[in-house]
Amino acid sequence: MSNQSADAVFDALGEPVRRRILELLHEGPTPVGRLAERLPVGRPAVSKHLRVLTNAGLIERHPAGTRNLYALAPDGMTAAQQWLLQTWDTVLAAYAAEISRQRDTRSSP
Amino acid sequence: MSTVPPLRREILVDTDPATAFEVFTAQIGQWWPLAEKSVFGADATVAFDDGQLIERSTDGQTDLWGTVTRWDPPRAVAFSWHPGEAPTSHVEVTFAAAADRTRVTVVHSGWEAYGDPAAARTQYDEGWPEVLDRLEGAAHDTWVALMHRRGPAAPVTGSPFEDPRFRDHAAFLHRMRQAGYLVMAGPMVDGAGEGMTILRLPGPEQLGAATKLATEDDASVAGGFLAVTVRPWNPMMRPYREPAGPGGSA
Repeated sequence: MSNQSADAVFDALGEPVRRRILELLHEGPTPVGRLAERLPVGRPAVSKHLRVLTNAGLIERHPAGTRNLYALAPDGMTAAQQWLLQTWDTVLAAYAAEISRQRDTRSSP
Repeated sequence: MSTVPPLRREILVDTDPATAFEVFTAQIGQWWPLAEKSVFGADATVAFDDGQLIERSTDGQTDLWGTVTRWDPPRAVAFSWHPGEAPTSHVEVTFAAAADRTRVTVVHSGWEAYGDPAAARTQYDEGWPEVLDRLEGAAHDTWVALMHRRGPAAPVTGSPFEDPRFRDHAAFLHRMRQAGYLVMAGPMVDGAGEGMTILRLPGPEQLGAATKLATEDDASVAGGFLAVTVRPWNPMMRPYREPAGPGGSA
């Protein structure tokens, strides 16, 4: 999983309306009109947000007859999780190195 | 409510909990890898300052990474987490004495609202939390790779596997299996008479015991039929899912 897709996920999550869309989709696959009714922005803006979320891999579009349903993507958060895992590994490795450095400084003046 | 499972990472550090807490908090600016993980880059600074975790750039900009929600030295520190544009999540770091060292555990939560609950359940069952559980155990055990090759008493020609003395080696491997130490063993396909065995001994710092087993308990090595190099191994990663063996049942 590349950092770029994790960036896309975090960028997508960095906007309150998009976070609200994800929360609404927790209730199940939803047509865009139903989402728009429950959001404080117009339908074109909702479509734009849906595009960003789709491109980040967080949601999927399912054609259902004449309309489209949007749903949470099963692996939507995987890139973000991988990125966070790698972040904490980097951070904790630096932390452990600092503790080793301090110990070595103490034991060999 | 179904949730995206919290991310959990732990590390053993060679110091006491009070020092581990102090280094993580008061001295965070000395070690946090700002070049890789920051808003303003390598020249910035970061500090816990009056209940807030703040990054400052050289030209005076600030970014509030989070606000402390629990301050319990030397046991724990917790804070909200929203560096840059990130949505708010939550980080808890705990420090627990483990023999003469300290186990530092990071739990990063707050992703529940954004993931598919059904997928989250699948990941919880099969995905990365299992990796971490496995590594937690792994960190406390001693792992070694035994690299075997022909010893000084081995015949120069012929397959060592057909030599009666090879049975001593097989018997050693069976003992390791019965003891629960054997992870895997087998010959190198591209090196005649060479092989590798991975052992996992419970508890830290068992390299001496592993070496003794490999060189004395294995009569084929003690007798010079095989030579062995004992290499301490630090397993860091495994697949998210066990690879399915060819022909294995699902």
